[in-house]
Amino acid sequence: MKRIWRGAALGLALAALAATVLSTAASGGGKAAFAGYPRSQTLITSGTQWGNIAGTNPYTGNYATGMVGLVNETLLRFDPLKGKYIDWLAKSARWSGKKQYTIVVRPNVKWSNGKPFAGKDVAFNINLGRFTTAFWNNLYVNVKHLAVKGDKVVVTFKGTPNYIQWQNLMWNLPMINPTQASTIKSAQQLTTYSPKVPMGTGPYTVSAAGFDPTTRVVYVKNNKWWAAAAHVSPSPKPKYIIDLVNTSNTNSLNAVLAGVEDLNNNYLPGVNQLVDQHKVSTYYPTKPYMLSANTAWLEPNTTRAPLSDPVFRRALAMAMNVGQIVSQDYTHLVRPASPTGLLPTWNKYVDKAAVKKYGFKYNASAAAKLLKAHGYKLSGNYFENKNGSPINLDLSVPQGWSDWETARNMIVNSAAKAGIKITVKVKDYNTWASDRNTGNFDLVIDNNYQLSDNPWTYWNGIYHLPIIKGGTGQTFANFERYNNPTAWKLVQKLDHTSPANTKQIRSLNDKLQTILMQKLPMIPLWYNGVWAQFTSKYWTNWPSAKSSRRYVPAMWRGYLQMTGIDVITHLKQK
Amino acid sequence: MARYFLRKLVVYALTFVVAVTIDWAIPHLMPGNPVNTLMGRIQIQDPKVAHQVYEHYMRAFNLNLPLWKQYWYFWVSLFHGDLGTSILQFPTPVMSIITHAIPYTLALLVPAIALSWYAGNKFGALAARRKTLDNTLLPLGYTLTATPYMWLGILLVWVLAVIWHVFPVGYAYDPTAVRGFTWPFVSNLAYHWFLPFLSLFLVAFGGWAIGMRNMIIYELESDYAHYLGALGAPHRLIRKYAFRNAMLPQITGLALALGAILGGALVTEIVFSYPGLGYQIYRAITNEDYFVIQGIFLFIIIGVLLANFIVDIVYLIVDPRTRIGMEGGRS
Amino acid sequence: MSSVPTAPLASPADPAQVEEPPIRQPMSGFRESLHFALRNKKLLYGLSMTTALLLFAIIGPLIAKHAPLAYGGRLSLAPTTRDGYWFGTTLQGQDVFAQFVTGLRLAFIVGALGGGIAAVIGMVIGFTAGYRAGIVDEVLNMLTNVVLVIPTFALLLVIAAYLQVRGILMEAVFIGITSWPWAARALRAQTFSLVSREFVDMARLSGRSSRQIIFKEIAPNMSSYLFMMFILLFGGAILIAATLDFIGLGPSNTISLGQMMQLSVQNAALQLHLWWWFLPPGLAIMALVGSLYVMNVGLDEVFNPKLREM
Repeated sequence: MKRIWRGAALGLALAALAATVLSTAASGGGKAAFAGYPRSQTLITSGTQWGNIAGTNPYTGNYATGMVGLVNETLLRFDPLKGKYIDWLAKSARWSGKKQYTIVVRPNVKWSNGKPFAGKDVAFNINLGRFTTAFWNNLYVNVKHLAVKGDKVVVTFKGTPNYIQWQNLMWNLPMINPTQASTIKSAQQLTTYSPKVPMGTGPYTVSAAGFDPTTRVVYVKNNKWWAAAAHVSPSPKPKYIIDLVNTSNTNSLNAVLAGVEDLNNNYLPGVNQLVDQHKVSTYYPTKPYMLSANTAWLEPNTTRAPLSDPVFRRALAMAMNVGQIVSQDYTHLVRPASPTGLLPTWNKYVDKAAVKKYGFKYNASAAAKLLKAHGYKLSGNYFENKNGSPINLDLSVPQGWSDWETARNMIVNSAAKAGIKITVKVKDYNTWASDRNTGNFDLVIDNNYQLSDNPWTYWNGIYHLPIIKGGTGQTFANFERYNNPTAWKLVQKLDHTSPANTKQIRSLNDKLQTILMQKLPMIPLWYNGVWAQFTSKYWTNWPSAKSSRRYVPAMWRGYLQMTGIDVITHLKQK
Repeated sequence: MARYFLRKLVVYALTFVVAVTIDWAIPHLMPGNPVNTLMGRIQIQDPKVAHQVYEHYMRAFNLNLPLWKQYWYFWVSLFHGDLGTSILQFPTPVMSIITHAIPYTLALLVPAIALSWYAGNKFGALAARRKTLDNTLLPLGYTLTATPYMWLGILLVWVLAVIWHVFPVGYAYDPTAVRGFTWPFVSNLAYHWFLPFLSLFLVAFGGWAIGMRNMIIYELESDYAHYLGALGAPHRLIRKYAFRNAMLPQITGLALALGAILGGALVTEIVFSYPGLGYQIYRAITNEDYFVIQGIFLFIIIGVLLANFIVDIVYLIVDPRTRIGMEGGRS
Repeated sequence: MSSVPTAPLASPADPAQVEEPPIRQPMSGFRESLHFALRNKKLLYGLSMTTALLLFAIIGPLIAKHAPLAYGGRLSLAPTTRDGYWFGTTLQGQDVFAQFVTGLRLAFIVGALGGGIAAVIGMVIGFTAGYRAGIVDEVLNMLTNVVLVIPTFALLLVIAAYLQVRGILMEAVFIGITSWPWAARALRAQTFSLVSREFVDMARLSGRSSRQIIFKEIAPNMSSYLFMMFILLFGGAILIAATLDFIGLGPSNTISLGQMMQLSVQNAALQLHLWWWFLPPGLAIMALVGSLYVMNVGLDEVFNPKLREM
């Protein structure tokens, strides 16, 4: 008897489960069944948040995607395609003297709690730079004085200001609310500050109820956004923005194709075929499909022979079959880089005459000839060092980055054709990074420096001195350990050149490019894309090269406050 | 009886200590320094400042202490329920990561193990009796149990979610769902849970079905079964005894199978973007997040030990010979 | 003492093991086994499928027209007879056939090596524990328990992530040293029963040394059991290796079936309908491991006369 009851109970439970599942399936995935965020008013994005969301700290760590741009805004914004700054929270922000920068806060800007945003808020945020863990701390130490008068903030510098870095800071420093942030009293607290509902001036606020650190962050529209009220920007149509935690490229692609995601910023191999089949859209309808985001370089350790010889580096550059990488590895989702390595948005800085004179092209036999002409001898199939020892360079990329692994393999093959022996070394990401930082490598592929407002960020990355020996090594720049004090002086001079002195700016940029092309401390390979694919199932009016909406469709950190915001504010409901 | 349990407890306690020690040791044997990763995120320009911050974090994570001290502190904080802070998701505490992830993993594992075990045994027993069922079940069972978990998962997603939009592509719930103890949300959860559960269930089911079928056949061919038959006992009675005896190895098998199904759950979570422990430990390993690795391992170890203990008790209840044997007698 | 036959090991995923041993009729000779072996359908099917795949794995790499990792083919090509791209190409233009046969070869190597190592360790530990009993048994039992409890799959993840360059050898060794516990347990139970049997007592009484007892009396009875165990460990090792490879912890300088699955999924093979890249590796594993399991059941029927009627 007992067995019958047990069997019945189990059977009933199973039947109930089956009924639940099937009924939700039948009702079209429960769309009608639950009171959730209405899909037609929600913009769902993904592709930036790898791993759990750590919180809402807008400076560091795995904070929620969209914090800077949607919630916390910046004084200025930057349009990389136009090459212009956009006055945002600041009505104006400019150099008002040799050592002075004046910011005038825009009137009628309000925090999400309705209180006005004023000059003292700006000063508070800049003053957070006094903590060593603030990313602008190195600029802050050069600040002599901050004077606040209502809506005007005057920053006075001790020595010559870092013009370029400061200007860069103006569109990268998020304005957080001083009342909420009054708890930050130490360097450590700056990194752990993570309010549940952060207050900002932006078009959206965080929904604490919808926040799920393993899955998503939900933003709710702020109907009193100052920019919409002042008609500086259209009011965004999505009532909700939900950014999903990434798990894998495949799931992202499935989600995009199924209409679960509207915008995805992952690298999705093969997406070009789907664009050609009109299943998804990208910024360009054909190659290169994506805007360019950063340069992938072949980074040689210039302290090791024969990589210390610029002639050898040049031969190495000439042995790179980038065309094969672009067409076969990336199926034209990337573009081959110019010999200067400067991104296409910086074309106006490129010294075309110098490129003609000093640039390099792929030519394996010419590379071999160059080596022979400069004292390198062939031993069998490969060249030897000048002192007779064999050349065998190791090349590594982080394990699991399959597109780089393919590129790495192609580089090994093409270098062999020029007689340069390269061997693959496999390393997990952390080992790869720490080896790169401490100079324990021959060659790596790297792509550190992102799209920004000034190629100076590239020069700073390439020529930065001093080179740190021992300890944790290089932390953010000059991983190739290139010691050229002349070039570094030029870089510093460029940062200390007033923006009004356009002649000197041009001449310095030209010099720095020429040094790069002549000495090739880094070898530019290709431009990685601003990976962005989107569907029009729920939202239309996406940016495109053929339209007037030439915006960068990325939710990436540092990109959203460029023109990512414009992408969102111009979307139309389907 | 008391001696039996005491013995068992001692063994488990010892196992716990050894396993926990190994658990602590392995992440520390991994090369690379997680603080370097953290530093890479902050990207401080001034080398002096960078060095200061580096030292600060080393102290914060106890990484500057000698190894034996780190080991000691590990036990101390264990008994305080403090599993440390994640480095990758700084400053989230490890415990919080685990508590967020565990419901999803349990939701997959418990029904998958229980239902596949139950259904597999039932079908296996049936198949042992009926030739027609046996001819279809056997090849199906072998095919299923030989299928790699993730391959089946991917195929299920592909066919049922991408081609026919019957089920969702993954995630724990619909991105636009509002969470809460409401019927719509719970049914949405079940809807997203189904495919990952199904892929785990199918592979495990095959194994149990085959095992049970073979066990029953053995039993039916044993001496006592023939003897009962000779005595004129009804088939049902013989089958009842056969079933009981066949269950024993299946019960032990349950504890042993946990490890494999856990591995299956891990890859299944990755395939379906299901935010459970498996996915977390995978991320922790690829990012050398020491404390998360240790914390999740610990949970798994405790869970498996508990499961083993429960199985031991169940086995004791079910099999009288074990009881007698354990008390020193011979049956 | 009642005797319950040992459960045939269903699969390494669920090794249903009883602590008590089977009653086995003393081996009436190789000939009798062979006679029944040739008539057992399951054994024949399993053996022929496994052999077919083995031949394919041996001959395949010799007839492949391209190196498995070489680029240069047309991208995303469907299977064709032109240029030897019989299984088509990947998204990056590599030959799927060459990758497939290389992977198949590696699967056999991993299975044999990993399964073999696990079988040897399991045998040594299980046998010693069963034969010696007492304190040795207790210690070995605890060792077995510890290794059992540790989530070996997660452990493998950690170890594999720690290695810089991963080879197929290392992978097989690690799989071997983590999958032996249940084999040790089963063999221990088997040894227990055999040790307490009359013919061993007789041998002892007649003054034979331990060594002779082990090799002359016990081993022959165990060998068939051991062989079946090895087959299951073989299949299990292949599955574990495939899962590890799929997560990205596979051998670095070559291509395995699990890695093919991983790469095809990562490169949108399903969404782009590149079925020739995604299906063959999974099907191969299913066929190989499945046939091994079936073969195992067949062998069990051959060695255990009581099952032969079914």
